[in-house]
Amino acid sequence: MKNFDFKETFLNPIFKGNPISVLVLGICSSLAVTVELKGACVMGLSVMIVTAMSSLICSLLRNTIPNRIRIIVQLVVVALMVILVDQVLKAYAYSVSKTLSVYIGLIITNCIVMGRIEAYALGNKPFASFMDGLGNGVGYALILIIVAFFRELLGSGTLFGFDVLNRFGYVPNGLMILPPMALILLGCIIWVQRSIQKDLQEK
Amino acid sequence: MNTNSNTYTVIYSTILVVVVAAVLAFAATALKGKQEENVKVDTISQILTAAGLEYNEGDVLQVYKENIKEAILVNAEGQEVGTLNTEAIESLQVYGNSELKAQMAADQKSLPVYIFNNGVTVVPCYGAGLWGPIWGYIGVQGDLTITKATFGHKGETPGLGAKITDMPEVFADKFTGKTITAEILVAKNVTGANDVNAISGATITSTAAGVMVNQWLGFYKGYFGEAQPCCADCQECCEACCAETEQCTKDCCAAEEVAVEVSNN
Repeated sequence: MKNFDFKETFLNPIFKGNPISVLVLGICSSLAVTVELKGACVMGLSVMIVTAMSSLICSLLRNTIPNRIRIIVQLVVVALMVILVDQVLKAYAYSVSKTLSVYIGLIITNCIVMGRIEAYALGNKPFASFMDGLGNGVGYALILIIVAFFRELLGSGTLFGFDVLNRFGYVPNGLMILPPMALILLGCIIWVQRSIQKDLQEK
Repeated sequence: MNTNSNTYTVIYSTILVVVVAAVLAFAATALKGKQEENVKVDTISQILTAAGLEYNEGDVLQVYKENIKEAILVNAEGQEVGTLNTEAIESLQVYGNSELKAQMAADQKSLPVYIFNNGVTVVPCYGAGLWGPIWGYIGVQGDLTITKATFGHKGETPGLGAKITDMPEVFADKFTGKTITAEILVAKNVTGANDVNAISGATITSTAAGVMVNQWLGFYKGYFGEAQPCCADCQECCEACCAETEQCTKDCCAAEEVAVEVSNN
């Protein structure tokens, strides 16, 4: 990676190589936290910070990490970042931390984080890894926000908790709140993306 | 340097763990004050909910201070053994979950009682759910019936056990109107006047909540007093008089008995 293309490294995971819709990683949490936009935004932001920072740290350490325990070292670094995020949320956004409590802990097992460290950060320079991690976090957050937008709008008739559709006599669709609907929406997103990006289509 | 040798691996992992532990310890200590403040506000907001008071996210402490009459500590016999600060907003005292947990095992209990100006007395409860601790706050009015119950949990299953908190209408609200002088049975398909139907799919969490409520109301038996002992033979008619006075005068019971006899004739 001598000619590090800043733009490409950052933008690729957001659309062309999106971790959720192309790599199909991190599905579990994207189903769980997309009922409300607020939760989705905070989760997206948290994952962004965790992927970027842990990619950066692992990349800094990459030449010193003993190969035999590299997964354990990655896990320790990721866990450290996740606990820090959790602690900060508990101190400064308590209500959000209460709704996300279980899922913040689950970032540790989010395949995107470990996947990017193993696939990218261990073989690339710190800044490139940081951008790759950040890009993947943004890509993840983007999908989360799109799904949460439709689920909250149609499921509760609100956006960020503010009434949008209900005042026009809209009856909230309870199905949108349930996890299966997130999967269906995700399917639609993948469908749309593959019809734009023909090279992803399997023959 | 050979990064694959055993010595290197052991030293590397040791240093890594020590550094990570130091960072975490520092973060935990630095953020502790702020986190505890948040937990306190959260506890108080649950107490307010149980008392049936409205509040907004920002004015929880203000509403609590304006509406609280007194917050006292009582022992298992119901005698007052201390008070909690309700004077200044900065130093409001409430019992958090760790304190409640400690009281469960303590021989000499000091149990918090929050008495509000609207006549509702709020008592806490704490116990074990399916995956972790659950807790609750119960508002009780003068005639020893529950006005409102609210529950919280650490990690019950979302969509099932978590309903004790998330969907008060399916569980917590059903405690309203139950009397605390008798056991409140929480089980499947129960129809008794003092029974609460368990949440389907979350039987263990629901029954655990029931066990917890009964256990803690048992702790407070001395404080609330009992309706029965003042007049064991005529519980029906005495529920009203027991709430008013400690001693049953038996007058109402006598009058009632006479009335029953007359109607039988």
